Order: sequence, then structure tokens, then C-alpha cells
Amino acid sequence: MTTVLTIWKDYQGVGTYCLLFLIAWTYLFFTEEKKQIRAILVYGAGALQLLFFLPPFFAFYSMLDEGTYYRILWIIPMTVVIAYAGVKLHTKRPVLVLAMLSLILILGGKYVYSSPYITQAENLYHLPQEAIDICDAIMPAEDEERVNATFPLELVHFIRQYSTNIQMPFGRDMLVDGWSVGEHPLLTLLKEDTISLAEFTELATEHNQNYFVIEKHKQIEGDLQKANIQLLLETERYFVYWNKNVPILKKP
Amino acid sequence: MLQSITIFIILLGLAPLLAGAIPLFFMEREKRCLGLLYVSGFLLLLACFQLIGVPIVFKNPWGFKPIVRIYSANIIGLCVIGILLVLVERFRKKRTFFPEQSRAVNPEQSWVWVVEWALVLGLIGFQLWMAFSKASFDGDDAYYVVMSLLTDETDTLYRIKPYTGLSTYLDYRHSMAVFPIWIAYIARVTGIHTTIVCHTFLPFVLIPMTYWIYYEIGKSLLGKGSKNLPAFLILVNLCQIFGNTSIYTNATFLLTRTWQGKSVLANLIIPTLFCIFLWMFQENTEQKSEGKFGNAGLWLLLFLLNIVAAMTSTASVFLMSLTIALMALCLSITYKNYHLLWKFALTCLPCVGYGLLYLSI
Repeated sequence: MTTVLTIWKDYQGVGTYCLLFLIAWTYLFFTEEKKQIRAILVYGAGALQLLFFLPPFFAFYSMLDEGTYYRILWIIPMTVVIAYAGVKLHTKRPVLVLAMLSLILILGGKYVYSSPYITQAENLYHLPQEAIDICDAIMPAEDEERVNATFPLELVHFIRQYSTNIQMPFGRDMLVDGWSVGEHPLLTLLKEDTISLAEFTELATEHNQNYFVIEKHKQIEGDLQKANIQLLLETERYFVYWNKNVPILKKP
Repeated sequence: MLQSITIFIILLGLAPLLAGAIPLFFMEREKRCLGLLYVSGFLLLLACFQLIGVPIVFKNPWGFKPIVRIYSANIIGLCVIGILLVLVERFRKKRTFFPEQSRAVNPEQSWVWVVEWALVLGLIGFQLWMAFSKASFDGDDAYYVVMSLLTDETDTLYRIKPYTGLSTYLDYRHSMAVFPIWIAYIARVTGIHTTIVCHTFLPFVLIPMTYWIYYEIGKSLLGKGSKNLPAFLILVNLCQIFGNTSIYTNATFLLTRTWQGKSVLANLIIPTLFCIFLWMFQENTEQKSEGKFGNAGLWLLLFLLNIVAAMTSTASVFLMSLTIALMALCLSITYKNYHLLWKFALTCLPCVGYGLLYLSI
């Protein structure tokens, strides 16, 4: 039961919509007269909410899928129940009640566009322009096979959304806890504060990497010529190196 | 780009309007409206994609080209059938396809009504503008968007790891929900980059459609022409815009992950399910005999909805069946009509079928 309550609280997060739903549902329970609305929004939604809190149901769901129990809350028509109950109140003093309800929803919720995950779009792809510039620089020509490139973790989400002609030794799978994917040795090196170009190039060549990208704020040591690499592009935050030890293959 | 946008509008605007005449033909004429026509057509076309796509995904690793050919022919065929059905209605039954509209505006409240409607449209427009001008980061895009792009760029179906590009075995769990392949189809036919289709174009279809469903729900709850309908939609809009109380809410999914199958399930499929329940048991049909409950078109729509649900997410198999089962029980008891149980059970067959298929592999 504690786990289910935690999931319910996590779903509600910083807002009060789940509580508002319970209040709105109770209001409809006592006031709704239309048969079909009672059946669907009162009995149906109530049964779904009750089911959500039943520990045996949670145990059954967990056998099917773990970590997604919050999705049961999707099938409870919270938005419809809140809005409908609000409108039923709204019939008495329309403008005032609507303004008050709107205020409750605004204060009891969280503005979606204030999320730290939402930023100004830099292009139609809605990907960081810096990632696109790097991709454009290393993209294989039409007569060339796909290229392999290593990127810092903050770029791995974006590269293959722009082009799948760039392959990577590791991707998002390295970022998610619990996916039990061992850390790639290239990533281990990339995470260090000081990066030796000779050491990194040797490992990159071993893993067939045509290019690699290193954050500018890292301490980079070594000679480009000795390592047989070339600085291909310098962006605001990254150095992009071309590893000449690994040939770019032509298409047959 | 203009040509691409035109094809996009034909594919996601005109084609659903033409194909939608098929389910609507089997519905009571009084229920027919432009919004229902579009949503029905959209669901019908998506359901066909799921039925065509899944067997090809299983059988042919490089099967995207056949999917494009077969599905394109399917769209054309359904549109032609839709046009023919409208013509049948017009010339054989001697009546228009839609009922004559009666505009009921309370003159005393009309200025409030106008202001409220302007607010509703303003709020939806604002969300569309934000969807266009703001980039939303979500880790799952590294799987779903890349899977669509991989399909479009390589013609392969679920045989390459999106994260790295290495070859892999068929991922059965995701491969039964072919929504990313449908996005790849849109990208291939329009010539627009898949990521642009997802992040920039699809919100302009999916967000308004979600609100249209809420509009239909409001109409069913409050009555057609109710002066409270815009107030209902204002509250729905605010629930979405201020619904980012956690990363799990359907509102967060609607406005930050619009193009992902899971978001379509939470924000389009499930509200449509409730909308269909309300349509089926509207007061005017309530008094009629048992055989007239809902009508064939609505049962067909519910069946199609189950197929489309399976297309959006494997989780839908359980969520849809559970919701329908519970609602069927509540409605059967309320109306003391236990024949409804097996009718609703039949509509769940697609989800049950995909579930069993998944478990048997």
C-alpha cells in the first residue's frame, strides 16, 4: 500500500490535481443525476481509482510490467471530471466561478513551459544547433559507408535523431540507471578531467571510431600529428577530431 | 517545402476526412459532424497501418518499402470508398451526409460566450505556438524518434539498435506498436525529415485533435450548444497547461512528448474511449430499444480504437482492456443490460490478440 501511495504522490508531484479530482468526483457522486454520466464518470472513474489503490492489483500489474504503474492513473478521466464538476458549479455565477476555478488550477498546478527540459528551439529539428553542426561536419558523403563517432554523454541523445549515418559506440543506454549496461571504456576515458590524445586515439582506433568529440573544458594533452588525428571543427563547447587511423570506407 | 506541406495536409488533413465517411456511414445521422468525421477517418487509417505493418515487421526485416506501397494504396482505396458512400447518401437516400446544424446561442450570454470561446482558441493557439517555438528534451526520443528515422533512412524494421546503430534481433515488445513506423511513413511520403515531422509538424495535428475530443466530450456531457461548453474547455486547457506537476502526468506527455505513442495513448486514445462511451449512451439513445444502443458505427469505432491503441504502446493492451471491462460492468449494471458485456468484450479482441501474441513469442 505504501508503494502505491508513493506512486500516487509522485504522480501528483508538486500539484493538487489528484486531490482536486477526488473533490470533483465526490461532488459529482452527490449531485450528478444523468444516468450515463453517473455510470461513466462516477461509478467507472471511481472503480478505476479504487482499483489503483488495491495492493493485489498492484502486485498483479508488477508481474506484467515494472515501474509503469503510474499509467493506471492515465485511464482515470481526471481532467474531464475536474472540468465537468467545475462547469456544474459554474452555472450559478458563471464568470466569477470560472475565474476562481481557473485560479485554483493555475495555483494548484505547474506551468508546463517552465520545465527545465524546455528551451527555445534553435531549428525545426528542435535539436541543439551545435549537435547539428558537428553532425554536418562528420557526415559521410553519398558514396561513403556510415561513420563511427564518439560523443560526450550530453550529446548522445541528439546525434542519431539528426542522422543515422553516424553510429556510436554507446548511447542513451549508458545513461539510464538499472539498464545494467557496463560502461564503455571510451566513455570512461571521456569522463576523466585530463584526456591524453594518444591514449584516447589508440582506444578509439581499437573501437573503429572515425571521429571523436571532446568537451573544451577538459584538459587535453598530447600532439595531434603524433596521434595522427586532425582537429576538424571547433564549436562553442566542443573539439571535433578526425581519427585518420581509421579509414572511411567507400560503398561497394 | 511547400510541396511537402501540401502532401502533409492531404495525408493528415484530407485523407482522414474522406475515409472517415466509412465509419460515419454506419452511425446515426444526428451524431455525424465534421470533427467526428475527421477523428473516425484518422482512427481508421491508423488501424489499417497497424494491420498492414505488424505482419510485415515480423516477416520482412527490410519491409518498409512494401509497407509504403501497400499503405498508400490502402489510403487511396479507403478515400474512394468514403467518397462513394457520401454519394450513395446524397443520391440514393436523397439527403445530405450531415444533419442540418442548429445554432443555439443564448443572446443574453453571447458576449461572455464569445470571450470564452476566444480564450479557448487563444489557449490552444498558444500551445501550438509553444510546440513550434520551444524544444522539449526527452530521453525516450533517442529511441522512438531515431527508430522512425532509421526506418526512413534504411528501410529496415526494428533490426537496428537506435542508440548505437548496431544490428540486433527483432525487439518484439516495441515492434507490435508500429507508431514510429507510421511516422517514418509520413516522413517518406512528404519528404520531410522524420525529426522535423515529430517535433514540429505532428503537434499541429495531435494537439488540436486532443482538444476536439474534449470538445466532443463536453458536448456529450453538457448538451450540444450549451453555453458552458467554452468554460469546460477553458478548464481542460488549464489542466493541460498547468498539469506538469510531475513527469508522469498525461498533460506533461501531451505538451512535451506529443509525438510519442505513449502520449497518443494517454491523450488521444483514452479520452476518445470515454467519448465513445458517452456517445453510445447519450440520453436520446438511452430511451431506445436495446438493439439501438449506440449503433454499428460506434461499435466499429471502438473496435478500431483498440487496434490503434495497440499501435501506440504495448501497455495499451492491458490499459484498454481494463478500462473497457470496468466501464462495461458499470454500464451493464446501471442499464441492467448484461448483453453489453459480450459486445464490449468483442471490441477488446484486438488488444487481447496482440497481448496473447506478445506472450506467445
